Order: sequence, then structure tokens, then C-alpha cells
Amino acid sequence: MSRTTYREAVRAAIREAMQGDPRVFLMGEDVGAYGGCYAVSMGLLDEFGADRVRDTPLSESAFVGAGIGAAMGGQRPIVEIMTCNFSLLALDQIMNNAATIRHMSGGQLSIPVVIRMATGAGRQLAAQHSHSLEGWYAHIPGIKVLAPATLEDARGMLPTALEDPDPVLIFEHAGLYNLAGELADDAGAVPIDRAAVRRAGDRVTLVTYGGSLHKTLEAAERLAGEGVEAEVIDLRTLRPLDDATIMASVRKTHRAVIVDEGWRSGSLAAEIVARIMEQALYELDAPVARVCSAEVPIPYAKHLEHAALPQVEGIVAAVRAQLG
Amino acid sequence: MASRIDDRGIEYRVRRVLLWQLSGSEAQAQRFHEEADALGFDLRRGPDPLPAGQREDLAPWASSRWRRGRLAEAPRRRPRARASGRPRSAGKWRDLVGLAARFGGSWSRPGRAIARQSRAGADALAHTLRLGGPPGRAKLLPMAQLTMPSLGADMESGVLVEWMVAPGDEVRRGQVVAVVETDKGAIDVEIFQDGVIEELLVEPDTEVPVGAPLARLRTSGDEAEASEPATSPERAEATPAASESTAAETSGPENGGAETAAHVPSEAAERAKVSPRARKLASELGVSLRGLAGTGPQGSITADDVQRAAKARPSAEPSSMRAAIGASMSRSKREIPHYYLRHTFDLEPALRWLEARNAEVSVSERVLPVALLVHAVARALREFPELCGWWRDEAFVPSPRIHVGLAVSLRDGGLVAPALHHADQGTLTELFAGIRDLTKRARANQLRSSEFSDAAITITSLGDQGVESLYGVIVPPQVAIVGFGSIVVRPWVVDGRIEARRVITMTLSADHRVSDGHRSGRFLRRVEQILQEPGA
Repeated sequence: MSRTTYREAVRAAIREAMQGDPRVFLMGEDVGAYGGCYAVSMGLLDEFGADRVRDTPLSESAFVGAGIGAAMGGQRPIVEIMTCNFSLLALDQIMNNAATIRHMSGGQLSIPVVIRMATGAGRQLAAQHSHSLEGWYAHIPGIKVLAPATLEDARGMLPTALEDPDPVLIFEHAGLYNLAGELADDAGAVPIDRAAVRRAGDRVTLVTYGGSLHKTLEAAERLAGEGVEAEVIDLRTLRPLDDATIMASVRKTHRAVIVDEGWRSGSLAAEIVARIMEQALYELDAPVARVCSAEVPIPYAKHLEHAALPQVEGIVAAVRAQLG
Repeated sequence: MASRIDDRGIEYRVRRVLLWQLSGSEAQAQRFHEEADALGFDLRRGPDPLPAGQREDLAPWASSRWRRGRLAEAPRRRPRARASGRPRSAGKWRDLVGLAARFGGSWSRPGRAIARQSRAGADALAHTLRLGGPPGRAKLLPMAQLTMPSLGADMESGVLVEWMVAPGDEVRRGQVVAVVETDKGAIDVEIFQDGVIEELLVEPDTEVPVGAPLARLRTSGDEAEASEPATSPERAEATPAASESTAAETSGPENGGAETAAHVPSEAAERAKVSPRARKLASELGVSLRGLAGTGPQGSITADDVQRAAKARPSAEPSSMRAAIGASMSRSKREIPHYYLRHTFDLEPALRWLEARNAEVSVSERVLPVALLVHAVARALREFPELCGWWRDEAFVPSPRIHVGLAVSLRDGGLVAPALHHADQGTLTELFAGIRDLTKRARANQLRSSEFSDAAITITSLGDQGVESLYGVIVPPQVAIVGFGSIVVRPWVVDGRIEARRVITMTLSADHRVSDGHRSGRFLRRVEQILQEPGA
């Protein structure tokens, strides 16, 4: 075991992939000389050279499209987008090309591209850098959407994603890059097709992912102090969703609260609630609740930003309301 | 009937409703209704079947008058106070139909004029008019209703537990369509008309008063009978309750237009909050959700509450049966002037005949003496119609068929007296099979609704473990009950000599409003006579 951070874990994953496979290269805004806007790729330019760590013009549509083309041509590109807000400029490439080409070519063409981007709020970066749009991407058939929330997943999801013959989007919560902890020296690839139970409990199921996982775990600890054992599920993969793990937990606890930093309306949280209704209605002992971000552009002011996001207190209160 | 229409808005409204009803499909009408509901009856915004010219006419009243509650001033609008559990959803559609019907005297002329503008509407209108004469309340729809049957004189309501049919299903007379939970247990409810289920009006686990509609039925022969309730016409109790409930239903907005807007919230307020898991668990455990205190969010009933109730139950259940028996018997003793006859006679010839018969036939065809007794009583009743029927509305209604209620004591206390249909017909073997089947199902809570309501007289027999005689209390609205004591061996004079013979004591408790002791005595004699020659 060694001490590391989420940022270092992602970097280690990229480095290992580039060392192991000459087809892998990294491309994005400021990933080379500047080392990445979140310093994830610091040092990689020196190690691998400008051919494999490529700074791009400020055109998301162009470099994501280039990544898709390279993937189609047999490369294994890792494309970094600064934040998911900016990814909307590349939405056409992602949705109309990356997600569709396998289908439209009758299975003849694969797009083994991996697109990484930062998501989420909490660092006073204001509305144009702070939104959580992974739920939108989870709407799109043809791609996979991952949300690593732990050091293990930050280290292990990338290699598995690169193995995937289809486009994989990885949403790294900006608030997690400094997350520090112990990681096994031999940590490596992890599966990307299932959710994980991060904490076992029997009174209520808390379903969450990404940056909200740690708040949810803290809320669960607080609830345990009140005698309420909450089960915490980390979705890990937002598309396709692992229904089985969610339903197994709901069948055990009979209550569910979804914690999602996305907005409530038409959200991933809404989708999970709907699936619980479809598959486990008769197991429920209380209406499923959601803790989501306030439906406003994420504010810049610190106290307002705090108020707009799901917080431990809100999660605890939602669980208490479930229990009557 | 309120033919006086002083509010032009209402008239339009009624015509609109009828037009929808007549010119469109069921689905259209339903959509219309939901829309009107959601919009607080602002009809201007709905898909409009009227030509543009008339649409303008609607505008002035549509949003104002209806909402302001002018309808509350219309005659016969006061709703009857009623049980809180009445299913409001059932009324949604019928509010409109009932409203239309109330103004039935005057809608036809303008209605026809409007309907002429729509080919389908005209056809439908003509079809409706063919149903007979001026459009009356129930004739408006070639529809019948399945109502909550009265499964005992003292039943006021029942809980619909399960539907055995779905909308669109074809049903035949006598088919079991639903299960209703009463004080007497779960009863299968039969339908009494052929047709197609149009709409289920009541959700499972809803308590429904006797006579309230449960489902609408599209009948194949949409003649006059379409207006009759689909439940048995023999059910006198159901009829008044049904019409009262219809009156309450059709009275619609008691506070004017606000009612419809308040419709949903008030329904939500009345309906107990029960979590889906609690509901499922309650039905698995057979726990009644009524009156259960909820400890979940917003006072909802949770699975824990149901489990607590299930644990507390054993003492509660028999007492509800006991209460039902008590209510029925109290009413009987309060209202029915009983008189009692008793007759002891020699059963030896009948028993010897039976023993000889049983020795000759296969085991499956052997019968117990009780079958002989029931058979004899049933056949004797053919000659004494005044003992077989019901006291209803201050008059005796003889039963055209001899359906005999058999008192069956239940293993966990209490008793029921389901009807053995046509007890005077068929062979002894068949009769005995019927008795066995009925007893078994009574104890397994699998009786059918007709078996609860059809009995026209009751027979109660103590079997071989009892005492010499019993005097029964008449089960209202029946007018007589026959009691048989145990068969006992007694010294008996036969042909001038004393012999040990097996004798039985038969009693009759009868309603003096209907019959007299003189003729009823001959009834007892007739039973004895039949039993002297059992093979005949």
C-alpha cells in the first residue's frame, strides 16, 4: 500500500496504459506543457513526447472528433475535456458520431475512444465550470458512462475502458482530485459493469455516485450514531445502470434515497426512482426520496454554492423523513 | 325530475356531456372528463366537438358559473351523509352522466339538434332513443353496473379484495368476478348478467358500501334490463342503497364547482396512506388496514405497523364474526314475531332404509342422515311457500326456488348459513355431495356471494353430538328456520308395543307476520310423513 491521491491514481492509470500499448495517446486542452488544468497529466509530456501527449486548439468539437477518427483508425485515444460544461461543444461528435457509428455501420466500425472530463461543483468555479451533466450522457445509447469515486476506481476504470470496443466517457468529479488515501501497489483494472455496496446497512438504501459518495458515506456514519444503519450504493457505472444491485438492496431495506449532484428534473436520480417503481414497488415502505442540486445554475458565492449542492445534513434529513 | 333549467350554462354543459357521451367513444368521454376535472370545468380549452359558432356561446359560463357553484342551487343536490370509505373515483364518470340524467326532460330536443351535426352523434342518439321513450336516468347508457352485493342483512359495506376480471373481459351470468371481504370472510362475488366489463370503478382494498357500484358492464342485449343493476334482482337490500348512493354520487359538486377541483385532494385526504410493501404484507397476512395507525412518513402505514397488527389480531377476528351474528340475531328478535312448534317423530324407518341403501352402494355414494332430513324439508316446502321466502318492505316475498340455508359452525368459532341451491331437486347422492361441498367451502372461506344471499329458509341441525332439540332464531329477512336435534334412542310405542326406537325432534321457528301455527304444524307432519317412506 502506498499513500496517493485521486489525481495521481488517474495519472498512474494513463501512464501505465501508454507504456503498455503504443496505440494509446492523450489529447486535450493544456494536457501537455501545462500538465492539464487539474494537473492530471503533469510530467507525461516529458515522459512520452509531444506525439503521444498532444495539446489541442480550443475546439472541443475538433479534438473530440479527431479522437473519434483516430479510434476508428485503430488507435486508442484518451481525450480529456476540461469540464463537462465544455463537452457540450463536442456533444455532436459524441452523440452523432461516437455513439452511432457502430450501429450505422452495421457493426463494421468500432470507436474505442475514452473521453475523460471533470464534472461537478464545490470549488467556486461558477456556473460555466461546475455542472454535473453526466446524467445527460447516461441518456445516450451506444456509449458507456463511468463515474469513479474512489482511488481504486480512478486507478482501475481507465484500463478497462480502453479495452472496451465502444466509446466510454469517464466523469471525474473535480472535488475528488485531491482525495488522498492508501492504494494497493498492485492496484489495476476493475470491472465497469456493476455498482458497489460501499457500506452495508438494513434500514435504508442510499444510492449515489461520484462526488456525492463521500458526503453520503459521512451521512451514513452520522445516521449510524442514531441507530440507523444505511446501505450505501456507489453506482460507479451510470450507463448501463446495475439495476440488480440497487433492487437487491431495496428489497433488503425497503426504503431508498437517491443522492445525485445533478438537477432533479429529468435526471439520473429520476431514472433510478422510476426503475425502483418498476421493479420493486411492492418492497417499498416509504416513498423514494431524492437529494439533488437546487435547480439553479451553480452559484459562485461560497455560501450559495454550498446551499445549492447536496450536503450531509440534507441527506440525513431525507433519511429521517423516510423513517417517519 | 328537474326539468326547470334556469341556468343556460348548465344546459349547455349537459348537452356537451351528452354529446361526448353519444358521439364519441368511451375513451373520448373519459378523456373529456379528466380534462374537465383538471381544468376546473373550463371546457373552452378542451378538444371541442361543437362547431365554432357554439363554442363562443360556451365561453361566458364555462369558467364562471360552474365554478361559482350555481349547480348547488339545483334541486335534489344535497348529498346524503355517507361512509367515509366510499370510492370517489367511481363517481367521476357518473357525476356527468347523473347530471345529464337529472335534466333528462329537456336535453333531448336541443341535444338532438346538436347531435345532428355529428354523424356519429346522431347515430348514437338514435340508438339511445330506441331504448325506449324519453331518455330517463338509467336509459342513457346501455350499461349495467355491478354493485356491492348485500351478503347478509346486516352487511353495510365490504372491502373489495381482488378483481378476477379486467376491463374488456367477457363475463357470463354466474361468473365469479371479484372477491369481497366481509365480516363473514372472503366471498366470491358473482355477476348476474352476461356482458363485457367496461370499467372497474373500485381499486382493490377499498371499502365499499352495499349497493355502491363496483364495475360497469356493457351488456349484450341493451334492452330495458340494461338499466337494472347487474346484481341479483332478488336482493332487496341492495336496491335502495344503490339508488341512494347513486343520488349522492350524481349530486356532484356539493359546493359548486369547487368540488371537482377539490375532488382529488379530498380523496387523498380520506384514503389511508399505506406503503406498497405494507399493503402487500397486509394482504398476505390477511390483516385489515382499516383503522390501523400509521407510524411511517406522513402517518403512513408501514410494514411494521401491519406486522404489529397481525400479532395483535387473534383476539380481534372472531369478535367481528360474533358482532355480525349479534347484529343479525338482535334484529331478528327485535323485528320478527317468532312462534315455535316442536314435533318428535320416529326416524327408525328412514334410518333403516338409509342403512340398507348405504350397504348396497359404493362408499362414495353413501350419505349421512342429514341429507335425508334436508331432502325431506325441501320437498315439503314445495307445499308450504309461506315458509320459504323473505320479508321485505313490509311484505312477504315468496321464493320461487327452494334454496335452503344450512347452518355451518366454523372451526374457529362463529357460524355461517350458506344457501344450498335447489335443495328439493336431484338425487339424495347429489344433495349430500352439495352439502359436503358447501360445508367444506364455508370452513375454507370459499363461499360464493349468491350462497350468502339466496337462502330462503335455514335448517340448523345439531348432528349426533348435540341435545334433543333446539329452537332457532330466524335469519332476517327469511321467515322461518327449521331445527333438528340429535337422533336419540327413546322408548316409543309402535303398534301398541313399547320399543326402543331412534327418534328425532324437529322444531320450527316462524314469522307470525307471514304464517300461522296451524298450517305450519302440518308442515312438520308432512316432513315426518316424507321420512316414513324415504325411498318414495
